[in-house]
Amino acid sequence: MTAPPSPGSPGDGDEPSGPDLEIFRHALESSVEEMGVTLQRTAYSTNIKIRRDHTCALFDADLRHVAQHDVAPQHIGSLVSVIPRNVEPLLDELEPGDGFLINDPYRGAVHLPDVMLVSPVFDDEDADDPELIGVAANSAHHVDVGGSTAGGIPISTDLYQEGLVFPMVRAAEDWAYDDRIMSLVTRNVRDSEKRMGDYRAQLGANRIGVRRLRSLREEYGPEGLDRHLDALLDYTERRVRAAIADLPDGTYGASDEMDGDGVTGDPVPIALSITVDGDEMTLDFSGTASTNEGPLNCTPAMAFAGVMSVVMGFVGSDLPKNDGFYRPFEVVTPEDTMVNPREGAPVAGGWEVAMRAGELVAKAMADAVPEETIAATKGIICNVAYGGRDPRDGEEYVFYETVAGGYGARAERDGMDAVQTHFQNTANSPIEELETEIPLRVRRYELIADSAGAGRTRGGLGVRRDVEFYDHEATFSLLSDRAESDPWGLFGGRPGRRARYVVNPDTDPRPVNSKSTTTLDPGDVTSVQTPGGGGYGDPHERDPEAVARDVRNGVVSVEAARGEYGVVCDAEGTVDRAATEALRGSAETEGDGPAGESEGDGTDPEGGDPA
Amino acid sequence: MTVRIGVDTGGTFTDVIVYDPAAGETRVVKTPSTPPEFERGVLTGIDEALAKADEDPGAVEFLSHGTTVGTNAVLEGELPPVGLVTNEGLRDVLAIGDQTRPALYDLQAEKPDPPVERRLRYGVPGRIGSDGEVVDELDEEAVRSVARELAGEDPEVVVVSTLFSFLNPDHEERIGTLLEAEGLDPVLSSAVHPEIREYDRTVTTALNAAVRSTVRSYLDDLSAGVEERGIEVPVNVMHSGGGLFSTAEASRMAIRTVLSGPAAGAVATREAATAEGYADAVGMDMGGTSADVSLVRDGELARTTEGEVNDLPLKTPMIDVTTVGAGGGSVAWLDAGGALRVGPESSGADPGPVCYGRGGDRPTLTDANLLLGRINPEYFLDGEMSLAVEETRTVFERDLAGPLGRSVEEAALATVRVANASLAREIRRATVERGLDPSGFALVAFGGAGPLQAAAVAAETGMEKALIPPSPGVFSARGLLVADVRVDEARSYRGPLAADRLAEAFAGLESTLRERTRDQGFDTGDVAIERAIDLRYEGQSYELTVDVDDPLDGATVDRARDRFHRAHERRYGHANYGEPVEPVTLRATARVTTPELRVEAGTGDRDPERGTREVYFEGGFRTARIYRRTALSPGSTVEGPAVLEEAGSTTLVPPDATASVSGRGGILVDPAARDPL
Repeated sequence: MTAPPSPGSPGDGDEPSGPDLEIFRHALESSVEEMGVTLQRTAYSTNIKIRRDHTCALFDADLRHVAQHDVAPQHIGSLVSVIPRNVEPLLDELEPGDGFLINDPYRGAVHLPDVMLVSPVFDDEDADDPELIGVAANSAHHVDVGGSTAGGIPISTDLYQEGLVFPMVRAAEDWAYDDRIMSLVTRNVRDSEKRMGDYRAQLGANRIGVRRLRSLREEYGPEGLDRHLDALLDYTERRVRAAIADLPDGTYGASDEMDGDGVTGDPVPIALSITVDGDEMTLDFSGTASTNEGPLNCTPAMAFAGVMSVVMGFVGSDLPKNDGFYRPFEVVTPEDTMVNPREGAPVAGGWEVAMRAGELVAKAMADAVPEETIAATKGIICNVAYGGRDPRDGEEYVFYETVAGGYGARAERDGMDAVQTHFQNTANSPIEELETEIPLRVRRYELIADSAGAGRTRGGLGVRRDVEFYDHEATFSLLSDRAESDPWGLFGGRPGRRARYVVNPDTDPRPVNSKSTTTLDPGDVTSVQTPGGGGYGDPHERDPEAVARDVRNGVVSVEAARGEYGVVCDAEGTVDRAATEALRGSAETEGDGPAGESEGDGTDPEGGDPA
Repeated sequence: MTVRIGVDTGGTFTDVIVYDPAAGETRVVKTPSTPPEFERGVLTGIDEALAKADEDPGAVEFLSHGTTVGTNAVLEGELPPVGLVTNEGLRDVLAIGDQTRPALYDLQAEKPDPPVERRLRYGVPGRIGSDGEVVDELDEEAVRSVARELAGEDPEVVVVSTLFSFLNPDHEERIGTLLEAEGLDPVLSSAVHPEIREYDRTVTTALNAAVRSTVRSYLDDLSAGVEERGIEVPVNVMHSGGGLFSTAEASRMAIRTVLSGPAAGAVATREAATAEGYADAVGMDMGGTSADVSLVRDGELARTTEGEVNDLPLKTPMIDVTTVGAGGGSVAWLDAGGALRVGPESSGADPGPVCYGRGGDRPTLTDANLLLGRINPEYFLDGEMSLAVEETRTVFERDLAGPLGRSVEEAALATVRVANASLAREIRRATVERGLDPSGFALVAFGGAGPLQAAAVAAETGMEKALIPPSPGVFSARGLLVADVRVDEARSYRGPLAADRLAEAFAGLESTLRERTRDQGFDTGDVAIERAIDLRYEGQSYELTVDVDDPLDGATVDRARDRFHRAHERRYGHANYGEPVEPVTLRATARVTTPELRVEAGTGDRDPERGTREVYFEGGFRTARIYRRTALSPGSTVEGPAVLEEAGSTTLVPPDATASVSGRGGILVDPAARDPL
């Protein structure tokens, strides 16, 4: 057995501190890591097993959130908003080996595909009257939960069109799923065999969590465990407060517009103000659009994850995620707005809203800590789903993916090319795996030249992904954004290129809306082109050799080098120093001013283009 | 008389071990490494070792080598220009990677640079589908034109990697031919790593291509020096998979040398553990900046094909080693919430811990051990370095003890405990996450810093014994003496899990293997072939590797399937016996066995007792007996608290623990006590 802090050791009975706490933290975090590995490695759908779109967490007997497996930050705050609220009423009914399914956005959950499984942890499963010592839970993004379109991203106008709603239903007993419930579930989703494999993986993960929490309690003893948990939460809170206190006090605001809600093409305003007051922080969404008719709504849990994943970048990236972490923050989501919609409103596009909320955190913080923040990133989840009948075997298929884009430029560094941003860090599927499973061919998967916002440091490059669907009719669903507004630059940096969504881009180009479902003819090619990141600082201050390197590598054109950066060079990237100095000098005298000062209120004259 | 020699080169030191099989004796020489011309240090070490053993170069009958040359080439990122030819539209696959960021919340994070610069990446029309059939014919005119452009750029080598080449290499081979016609040096992904997943395959091929010339020229220089000395046997090189291969193979598959050093330590771990009767063991090689953790299960080293170097995937078979940022030089610090943390920052070898007196001014794990009386200030590194004990106390008081409100000794003890907790977490990861219960395992601890922490880490992870092998400071070099020659081949397989089809596919793999071992000069009669297969449930994306027994027939295939179910259950807690299982990759290994070491322990004719010293444990100072480790006779036992000292390493026997000396000179520590600190 391991060695718990021994009785008689210095500080016995006191609050565990320094070393004891660190040792305990290692043990607790390894428990949730083990849950996470189990879930990922045993799942059947790409989304979980490769894209790692899942999280695992443990709660204590008081239903406090004590540990979380940190691979997918979009799940920060989701389990915590579900567990206390939905477990409390069931306290007298819980049995060892139970598994409850919940995805109800109006009971604390996020969007329907993120299905959570919740299991109680008892001290002794075989005892007559076992004591509840905590809760193990996990959340995994299922590729299909029913609903009107394959892949769970419909242009819905109410929640029911989005799929099956689990209201905290007991779906497993004694570590086995109830066939009656699961037959109902699988009959209502597409590609049901794989889905069942995913549910089983979720149950396996909770089972590991139950074992590990129980063995921690055996090691530390009931009081010892409580004492260490208290200390860990307090420690976390202390660190968060110290980090917030280091930020300059003040209120910092930012706003933007989204493309439209999928039903109407009107731009949708989103606003955020951040108040740093001593060691506390308030994030207020007042000024954000009211509940949308289309699926562009997010639940408060999603909005929370959206802002927090970026706030983390300013308060310390290695903080444990637990109750203590959340204490110094208040997130204000006014009722009947798109960040706290009317009950029953559709939420399928909620993560797009949450993503943009995260962008606004970075933009607002430019006023507080200009050296630490970043310009606009791709700023979209870029949900893409395909469905149809595979001509090779006649079976129905569904596939869902998200596409990376540019990262925002930083004070001293270019933005990364082709990455996921903020709370999103899901991996792609290898083309060979994808083409084996799904009847498509990836025709292009490349960086987009001239998509990066120019600046002293440039934004990251966006990505173009062209997919051909052979020998069958398929549906192509998009729930994305940023086709009608710019990913902004900061402090004179230029905006990145907007997103484009096109069918048959090289033969008979047909642009489609960022939120749409299109039926494809056999042989059609879809092209998703994600935004580049915004630049940072005056492009004329960029080292001409850095510009030349980008030209040599074909990611900045000779024309853009001259027009945006004031660098005169040839296609081989040989810089004409004299011409460059002359060009840059004349631009200054013309009083061009700091280009692209677009961090103002985000109002974009082009944003109102009706679809 | 004949001798066998192993040479293990690290960044700072080169360790040479000479083994005389007739006498059952080993001798060890430690000499400074000489980067960037590492061969000089290696040759000097060999000269010194032969002189010490009083042997002629002609007496060397076996020479093997663990090297960091390939590792450094990758880590330092100074790779020569490499070109790439792939499918049209897909040249940026290498830059997009898996599209994730390396750190979740760090707004300043950086993605690794792709191993081929964009201007040298080209796409050409031509496509093979997921069934291995041609979808679009290869546009040879386009290839020729790309070849001409590339020739103008003069890359050292050109990687050719196209979709589904592991099923059908025709396009890659044709592209290769056309590139050669332009005087270029092509490397095909289907030849280097014929497995599914284009990004992984391309990166692995590109990294291999990039380090090839560095490794080859190093090994050429080394071999020439060896030959010059009159050593008549060729140099064998340790590969990442824990086996030896020839310099020709090492040059061809240079990327397989990246874990050469850690693999030697893992092989030594396996040998020492099994010789002491432990089929299951964890190896903990703890040096100045980090600890490498390896795993032995059922007498075999745990291997993986899911490696990473510099944040880039590396998918060749390798020893499953996890590196933990906890070494002797790891810095102890208090974070903003008041928690005591150890590492990952390290003071390294220079300036090193405060007690080295070379300008280090942050408290480290080694400093903590010194303050606790666990390291002898005079005996440390054979007394070669004078230790600034007072300075160390001052730094601990200032940075840790003062702010924590504890005594210097309490702060030092806390530092040791936190380091042990992170080692224990990593070991749990290596065992429990594979469904293994470490309680029957032995912890084989070595490296300069490992034996001090061994008893505590073994206790914390519930392991039965800690084993401190003889000369733990140069233990990795021993692995080079006992490693088998291993040549690995693997190939993606698309088809049913049926004996006849598998037999056919394996036959192809095995004939390649036999050819390659014959090329290395081995008699096919000495070569044993082992088969394994990566299986998964249909629809899963991660596989588990299981052995396939001989002869390949319905019964052995069923047994392999059953092994998969059980491995899945052990590792993940459940198995789906009714579900179909699909094969993904076939693996075959040719093995030529190396004779075992016959080691006589020292006779113990010197007095092992060196008096006593006050050593701090939980609760206060205790009087510990101090022993000269090399003078302890086999069969003797030592009761804790005690400290066993030898050149380059110190073993701690905590209070209530007992250590005994085995017939092979290993120290077995039974942690026994519930709280070993």
